[in-house]
Amino acid sequence: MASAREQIRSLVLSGHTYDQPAATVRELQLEAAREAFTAHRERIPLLRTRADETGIREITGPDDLVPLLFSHTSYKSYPLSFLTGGRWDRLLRWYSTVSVVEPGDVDIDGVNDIDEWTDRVTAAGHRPYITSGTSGKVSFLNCDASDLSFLHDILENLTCWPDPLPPEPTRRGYLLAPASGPMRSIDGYRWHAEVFARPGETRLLTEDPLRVSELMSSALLRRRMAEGTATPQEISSFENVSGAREAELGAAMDRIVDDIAAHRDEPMLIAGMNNQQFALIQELRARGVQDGSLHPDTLVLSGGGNKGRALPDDYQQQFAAFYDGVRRVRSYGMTELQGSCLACENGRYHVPPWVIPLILDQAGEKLLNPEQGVVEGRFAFLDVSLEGRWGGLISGDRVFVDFSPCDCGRAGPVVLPDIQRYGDLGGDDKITCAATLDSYVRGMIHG
Amino acid sequence: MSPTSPMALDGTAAGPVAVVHVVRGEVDEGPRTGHGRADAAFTAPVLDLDKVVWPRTEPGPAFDVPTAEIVDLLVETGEALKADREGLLAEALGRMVRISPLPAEVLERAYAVLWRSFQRPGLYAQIDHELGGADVLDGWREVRLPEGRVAATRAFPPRLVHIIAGNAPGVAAMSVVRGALTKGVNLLKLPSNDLFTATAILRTMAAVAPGHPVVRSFSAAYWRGGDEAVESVLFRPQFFDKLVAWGGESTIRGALKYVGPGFELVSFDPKTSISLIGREAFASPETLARAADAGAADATFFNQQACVASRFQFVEGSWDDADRYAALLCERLGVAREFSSADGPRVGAELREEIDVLRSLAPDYRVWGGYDGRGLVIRSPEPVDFHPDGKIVNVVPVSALAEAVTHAGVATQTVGVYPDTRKPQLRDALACAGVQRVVSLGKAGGMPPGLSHDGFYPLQRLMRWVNDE
Repeated sequence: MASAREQIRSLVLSGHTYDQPAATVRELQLEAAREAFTAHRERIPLLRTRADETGIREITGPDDLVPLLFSHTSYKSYPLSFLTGGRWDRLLRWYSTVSVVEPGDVDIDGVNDIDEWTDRVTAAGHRPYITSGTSGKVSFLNCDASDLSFLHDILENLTCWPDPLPPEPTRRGYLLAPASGPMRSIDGYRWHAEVFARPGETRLLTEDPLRVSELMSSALLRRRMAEGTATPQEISSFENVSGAREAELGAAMDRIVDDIAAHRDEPMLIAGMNNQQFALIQELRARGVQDGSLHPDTLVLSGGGNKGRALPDDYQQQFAAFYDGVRRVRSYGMTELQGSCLACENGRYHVPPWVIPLILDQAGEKLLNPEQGVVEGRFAFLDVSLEGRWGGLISGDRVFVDFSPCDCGRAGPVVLPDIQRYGDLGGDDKITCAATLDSYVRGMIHG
Repeated sequence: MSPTSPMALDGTAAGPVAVVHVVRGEVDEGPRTGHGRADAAFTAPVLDLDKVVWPRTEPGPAFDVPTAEIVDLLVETGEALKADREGLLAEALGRMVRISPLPAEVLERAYAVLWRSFQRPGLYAQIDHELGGADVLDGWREVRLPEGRVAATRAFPPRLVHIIAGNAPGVAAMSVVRGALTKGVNLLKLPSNDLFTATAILRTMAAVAPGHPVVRSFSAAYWRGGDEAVESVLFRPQFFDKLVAWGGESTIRGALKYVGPGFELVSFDPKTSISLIGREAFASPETLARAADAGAADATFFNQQACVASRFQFVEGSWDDADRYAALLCERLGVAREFSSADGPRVGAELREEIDVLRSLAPDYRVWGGYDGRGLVIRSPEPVDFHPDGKIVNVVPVSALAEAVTHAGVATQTVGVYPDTRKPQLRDALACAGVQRVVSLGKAGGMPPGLSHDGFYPLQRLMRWVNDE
């Protein structure tokens, strides 16, 4: 008989992914959580340490999972000096403590930079998906080959759920993203293009790959500034490079805008992070493209939230107005989660069966999951599908989750649309004379 | 938020804590409003902006009070704080314990010595060393200039708004003392991590000398830091000369937009501190024990919540030497001292994860201690990327202390050095890097009055210097 994790994964192909009875899913999830814990404890030293420390030997219920959750910190906890000093072996050793990768799996002979390092990990059958945060330090979240094929299954079967889009390559593609790179959104856009766009008819924001070292450069400059070794020229060139790059991308965006305006009557695939999507919409409106005027078979992918509240508060309403009448993927998700929580007909985000939602207090310590009804708290979860890393994580998001059956007729739980980052909700006004070095660096460079 | 019940007002029952406002020396008995997050709710009187300022059209109440009288008042206030006959400090302490991250025993000991800031020798040390004597506070001091010219100068009372830090109660005491010595008018903005100490001191002073001009020169109130409805109105040269800010990066950055001609920022910048341990520590088991204890004392000041608290300690020696020091240091971190407790808050989840990862990177990284708050030491080949906090010290071996100087910078306030004899050869280089204070290891806590603070003489900086030429 298939393991509980396999059974849950196979739900994605079933055509009834979100229509399972709650009790059945819960039982299967708990068994899958046990399997995931048993398997990952053996292979992921950080989970083993945590289990030893907290005395959790087995999973008897959701409460046992809470002490085992990682935060985002774990995936960027490598000393920066490993990068600045070119200690790629050490970085790999670090990676092997937060993922199932074994140091012996990866050949790092002759690696010169972080991009080559990620390439080598990828060549060994893994994918270190990166996310960047405000500190500039990049997180590395490992997926193995089976995780990637699961992601692919999700997009082939659940794109535009609850009315899934047939996997037919009939669209003109626009990816507001680099050509490649170890970022889940980039892979996701590319795969969508392979499935839903006409071969050879996909335009990119840039033909260049995303470079991890470029993303890391702000973190490295911050470090040099904190050490007092960065020169004014260095800071100035950093800002100029950012500016030049923005100008280049702006020109590419103009070409895409023109092309979309010219082909607005054809079915298209338009994929991009929220900030690019927002810029695109403004430009298209300026070219006279009316709200709701794109071809109805057009598929639009967006995401990435509103980090640092850079977009106007009504950006979602603006997206909805401009893309009125086209097919949109509406979801709540993050790189840390395999497949997002997808919006039903009522706009509530259904948690997929391979994800056990664990709603915690703000401190991230106490489990608040009710049997029924709505609860407010910090979104945490165990994604039992993950093979490449431990799927238990505490997010920075403040959510309302309804554990009762949804009005759409399916079982819950669902995440309600009012989602915010705790960081954006304001601090607690405590004043102290003690500081981190960040106070002396922040504000001097962008990001 | 609902108005607080009378039961909650006395601070003894559960429910929102009641915060007192002092308005020009008197307790504000007006209607109250709710503040704070649900888990840390409190009430405070509705702020009447007209009442917390002093009109510039007339001199402040204490502008003409002789310094000697102010010093007497402060000394008496100190005695009253020590005795606490009115129970005002006890009341504040009771409320502090409920909201402060510091353990009750540390707060108790800190409150028990608040009076020390009000001792006559310390007050005169500030006046004499920072201003050159009380004459310039009380009148015009003659200044002889080149070419036989004679002028006069006076340290004129300023109008100050203080944004005080709440991580150690002594900050409130120091702010009241400095504010009083200037003879100026002072509005203290209370931080949410110490809503009680400043008003308890001001009420004690009011009880000592009801209606005294110095008493009438102080207001203390809470508003949410960065609240434009308050700050855009108050932070104007029409009401205040200087904003005296203790840390709080967001507060300072928020206040910066109001700084302009006639409204100046005096910033006690948020800081971090380190220690340098010379190879002399390894001369004998006794010297090593002494150095480790001194290093622990500096790291645990206010359970490492203070800016003077050491977080990174550079040890001149081999990795083995550093390990020996680290092991002893970890033991000594778990010892209760005047301003620290044996136990501290549990190490937070994020730091725990950072440290768990380092544990698995042995032998490059080594960790002593657990996450129970009794102290934890990480030995690493170079400083860790995160900010050690909550009785956590990062020990880094260096081949020579001069090498450790490169890890000091503009954010470094205090550097403790062992042994004392190494200070002279390091202090210029440390100062060059940005350091403001070099001390004997173990003496980081408690800055003596009369010396510079964060690179300047505070009392001198607070005054308005006016000439008669």
